[in-house]
Amino acid sequence: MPNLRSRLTPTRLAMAVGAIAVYWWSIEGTELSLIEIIKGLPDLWKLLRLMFPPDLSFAWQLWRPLIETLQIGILATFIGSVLALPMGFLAARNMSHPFVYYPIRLVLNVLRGISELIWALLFVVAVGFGPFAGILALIIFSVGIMGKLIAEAVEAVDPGPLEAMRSIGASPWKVFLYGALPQVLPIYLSYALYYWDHNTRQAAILGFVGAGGLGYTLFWSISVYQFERATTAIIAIILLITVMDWFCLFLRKRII
Amino acid sequence: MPKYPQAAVSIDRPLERRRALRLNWLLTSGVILAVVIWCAWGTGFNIPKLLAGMPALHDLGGRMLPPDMEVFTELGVPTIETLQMALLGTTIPVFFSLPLALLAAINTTPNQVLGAAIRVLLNTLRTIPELLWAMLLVSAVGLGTFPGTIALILHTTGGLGKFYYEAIEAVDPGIIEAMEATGAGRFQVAWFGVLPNCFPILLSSTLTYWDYNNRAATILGLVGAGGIGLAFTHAIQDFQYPIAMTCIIVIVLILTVIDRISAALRARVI
Repeated sequence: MPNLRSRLTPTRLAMAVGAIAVYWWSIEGTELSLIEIIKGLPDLWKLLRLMFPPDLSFAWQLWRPLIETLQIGILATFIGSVLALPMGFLAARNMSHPFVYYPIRLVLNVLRGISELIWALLFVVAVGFGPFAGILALIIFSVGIMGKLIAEAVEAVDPGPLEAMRSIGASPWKVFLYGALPQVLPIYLSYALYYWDHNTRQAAILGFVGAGGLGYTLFWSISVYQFERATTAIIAIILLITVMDWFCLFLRKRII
Repeated sequence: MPKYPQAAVSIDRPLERRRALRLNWLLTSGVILAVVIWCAWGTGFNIPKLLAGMPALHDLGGRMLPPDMEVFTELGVPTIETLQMALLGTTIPVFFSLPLALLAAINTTPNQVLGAAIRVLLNTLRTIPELLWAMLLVSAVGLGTFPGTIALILHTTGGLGKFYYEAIEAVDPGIIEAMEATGAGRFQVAWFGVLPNCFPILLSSTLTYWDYNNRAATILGLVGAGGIGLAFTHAIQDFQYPIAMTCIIVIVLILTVIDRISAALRARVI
């Protein structure tokens, strides 16, 4: 048996006490308690009774929002990944000038520092309800995150071919098009697929703030207390996310 | 026969193959372009609309700036709420996910049917976005951080559970076999054999989720589940755009700091 007394140093004791204090404080702050959970159970039961059985006749009305969700995801991923490519190259240390890559990096940080849902709400306020706002939000976020990932991939490429091309007098544009791009292409495609999955998932819930798709239908059903319909929409969202998950995994395995 | 090094690139690629490749490439890009056009048509997304939206965006940007720094201190409470939700939403699920993952992993489950059932449960919990959980819980028990925390706990239990059972399944089967050969019980194999072996992965996926949950906690408020997101939504609804801008700044600050902390912790544990 390990000696318990030798393990219990004052530092560890202080850390344990500190951790317990932080948790106690967090539990107080978020009003999380077993009593609250038990008190909430009847309300939850009431909600479940309203939600079941799902109104399956509503399913055929879900076709349009379902397709819209898919379209938002595809369009945002396509435009986002096309825009992210030049941004990624401009943000890479081995491809561009410090006067260019520092500002570009800052822009990319801001673009992805703000969550899609917040962008979506801002765009809804600016351009109104509908899928347009959702697409803009997802494009902005995709450019931010994919630009950073591409920049990291570009910085990790083998410098040999680039140097060889420079030494025979190739222009910077040609160096990156024929030297670096072929090296990062598989990684780029794999990121694009990953964010396609991610964007479709987000497109399904962006509607909560009015940015179109299945989420909007779900939000609307809950606001007018049609919980059986909400359940059908939730089932559609779960199916969509599961199918996209499998499909993107399948495609990624084929590409890499 | 002497061995010559193989040429890295075959230069004499037959002409037909090159033609076929070019055709393949053309077809693929044609299909992608057609799909993208269909999507743009279906969602009403086009360049004139984008240009027409620019003044509105500029107008909103103008109204949000400069941020209202007076409310900066008032945002302390929602910020702390956000951090607390993320902390509890990440650490409480560990106590559910770990036993469930041990029961779900193919190499440690006492019963394969039970294992499959738990895997389905974990995947369902994970598939439903935390924002959806939050919206349902808010409509059941009302506004506040309480439904937000529960939503994070539900989603994270599924996500961490999946990470955990995948890590457990990747453990070297020799260790389990060796321990079983010495007569160790199921619990002893799990506690002294399996878990110490995948501990770094477990820790690193928990850190990933802590990062993720902080991000999620900042937006849960958009459906009424407390934190800084709720302050942001209220500001937007009251047309107080400078305050909304301050909230965005606070959110970016929170996420940047958490990102740094989790990167530092990760470097220490792995």
